[in-house]
Amino acid sequence: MIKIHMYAFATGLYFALLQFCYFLGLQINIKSSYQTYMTVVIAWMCGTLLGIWWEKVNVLALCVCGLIVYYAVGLQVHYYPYHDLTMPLATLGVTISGLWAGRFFLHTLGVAKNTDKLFLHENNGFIIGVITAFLGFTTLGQVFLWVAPAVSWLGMMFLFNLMVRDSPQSKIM
Amino acid sequence: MSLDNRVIQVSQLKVYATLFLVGMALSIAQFIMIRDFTSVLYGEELIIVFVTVAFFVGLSVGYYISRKISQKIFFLLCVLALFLQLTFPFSFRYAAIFLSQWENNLFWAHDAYLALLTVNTIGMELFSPVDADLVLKAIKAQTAYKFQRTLLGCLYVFLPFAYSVLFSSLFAVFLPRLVHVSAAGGDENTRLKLYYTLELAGFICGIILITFAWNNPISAVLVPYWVILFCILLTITHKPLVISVYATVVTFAIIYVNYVDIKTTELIYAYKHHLKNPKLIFTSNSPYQKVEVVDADGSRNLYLDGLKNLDRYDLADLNYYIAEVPAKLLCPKHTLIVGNGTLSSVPKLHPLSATLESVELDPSVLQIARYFVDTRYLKTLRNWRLEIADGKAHIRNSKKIYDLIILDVPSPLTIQTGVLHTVEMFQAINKRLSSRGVFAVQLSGRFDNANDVPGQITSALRKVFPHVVVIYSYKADRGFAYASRSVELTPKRLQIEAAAYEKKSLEVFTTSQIDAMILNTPPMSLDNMSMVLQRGIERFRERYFE
Repeated sequence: MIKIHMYAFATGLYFALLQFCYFLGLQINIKSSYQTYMTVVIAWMCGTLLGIWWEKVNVLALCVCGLIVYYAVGLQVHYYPYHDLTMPLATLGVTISGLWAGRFFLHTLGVAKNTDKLFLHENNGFIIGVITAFLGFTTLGQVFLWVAPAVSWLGMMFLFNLMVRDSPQSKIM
Repeated sequence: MSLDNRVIQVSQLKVYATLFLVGMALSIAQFIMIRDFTSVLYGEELIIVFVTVAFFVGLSVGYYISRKISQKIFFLLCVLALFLQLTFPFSFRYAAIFLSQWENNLFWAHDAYLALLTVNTIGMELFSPVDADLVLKAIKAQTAYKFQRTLLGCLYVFLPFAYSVLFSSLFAVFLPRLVHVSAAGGDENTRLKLYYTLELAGFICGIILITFAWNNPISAVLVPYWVILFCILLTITHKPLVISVYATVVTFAIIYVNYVDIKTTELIYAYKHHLKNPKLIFTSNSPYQKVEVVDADGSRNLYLDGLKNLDRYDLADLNYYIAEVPAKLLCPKHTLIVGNGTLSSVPKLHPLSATLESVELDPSVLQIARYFVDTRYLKTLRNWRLEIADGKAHIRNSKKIYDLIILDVPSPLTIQTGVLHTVEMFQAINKRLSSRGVFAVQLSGRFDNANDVPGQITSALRKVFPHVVVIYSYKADRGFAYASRSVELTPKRLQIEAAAYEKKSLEVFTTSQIDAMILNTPPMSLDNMSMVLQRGIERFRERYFE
């Protein structure tokens, strides 16, 4: 059970870092307007909603795609910040990254058995992610935006594998 | 359909409605808490993050207790929390006012004691040996003062967390609790899918509702919030007494919301900001910050997220050195002002430049321009154009070349404003300058400590521009920098302009003098925003613990 809680915590941390890195990347490269903030928040929420209902997609594929898309958007935003397609692609990217945020709870509920503990530990990870994003970006700058999502993703996947190994009822599909 | 099925359907609809409304309330509560609490505690980035964290800690508390309490206790806590929510955010403001009063009394007592001690000590040194008892008393008093000061600081830190438990934890209780209740039918997975979807949908609707309330006082979002809370109450209870009392309280709250908003804000400015007889002239929540105009001490003051941006005297001094002086010396053909939301530079600059463009991000700041400048006159200016946009994006996307670019934005205390003072931003500005163009920026302080904000901004300027001149004006009590590829404004010319404005001479630093001072100073850049964190910590410590 501790592994589930650690996995939920690590996932919350990953979600926070991904969201804030998306937001900061768009803000510093494109524009600091409220549309940027709304794009990230609403696109993420839409992705989450879609992820809750789109059961046919492989969980591992969701996890991997979410991260790859972040780096693809990062490259697009860095090299072509004012291209006409950049904001629409960024919006799509955030939505795809948000899919896992919706699917995560359903995927893990079977193992965790308690929604309250699942949400609690995921939220705690999110809190630490918010603090880490602020401290990380102000001290390390753009390097943090490139490194943090990957590092937190690796931590999340490591704990995911531990959970899968120890809990036969957990499904990868 | 049988009666039982109909009852189950109605009760299911109530669950759906509750979760949707809880989602809406959650997004609005988050906005109100983060925006209002940040403004009370002063809106540096550190404070914004701090209040955001407090909000989410409240959610964790809600998740933790969600299934640990009985249905009866849950109902009682819900009703209590819904009533307490009606005092939000004004009760937080009153709590901050109370702490400020305690702080003011502490300072007064401490200052009075120190004054008395000094007189006694001088008297005793002149006429007799120092009394060891008196020294001991002084040490004890100093220790007591420091203890109370630290306690006050801890209370300021504790206050947002206490409030988040009261106000945001309620919303976190519903989802896990309702998912777990098997009487609702279906398996837990199905219920989680549906209920989480409803809560998220409500959250998105809450965000959309907030966008309609932008550029208005807090009442524009509080009134719908209270109505939503009332609807939540209707879904969890049928007790006529509870409902009618709540409806009555909500009605009175709506009637008096603007009055209470103004009065509590004025009390905050009186006790926390130490303004004499403050009068709130304007308040608005823009998409970016809380904008307030307060008249006090015979001056009109602009506050952004509770931080003083400028007053009437600052405005005149700022506009003179950041705008008028370079314009007079250069006689520019095309001028761009980034920021200057009060538009107070425009009347000064339009006769000095053939064309003048203003770019300001925040429409709420533009709304307050009428309190600082005659906007009817501005509408008559044919050579001036205003664009509401992000200055950074405007400069990067623009193809126009300017002879003078002025960056008149708040100090780099948040990431958003910090980005405007980076090497990368200055590089973009440099590309938009003509060969003899000059870029003017204020340094958010005195250029005397190379490692502080003015030093890092100046270092960033030197990374980009071959010629940088920094001045310090005693009247304006801040530094300004003028950077260019080919033009160096000479100290003599700057002193002549300053002499026309103030009695004391400027401190002027030429490029070579600057280079000697900023030898090891890291420039502010997208890879070095540590000053945002550092200044936030320093100011928080000075404000609440020292």
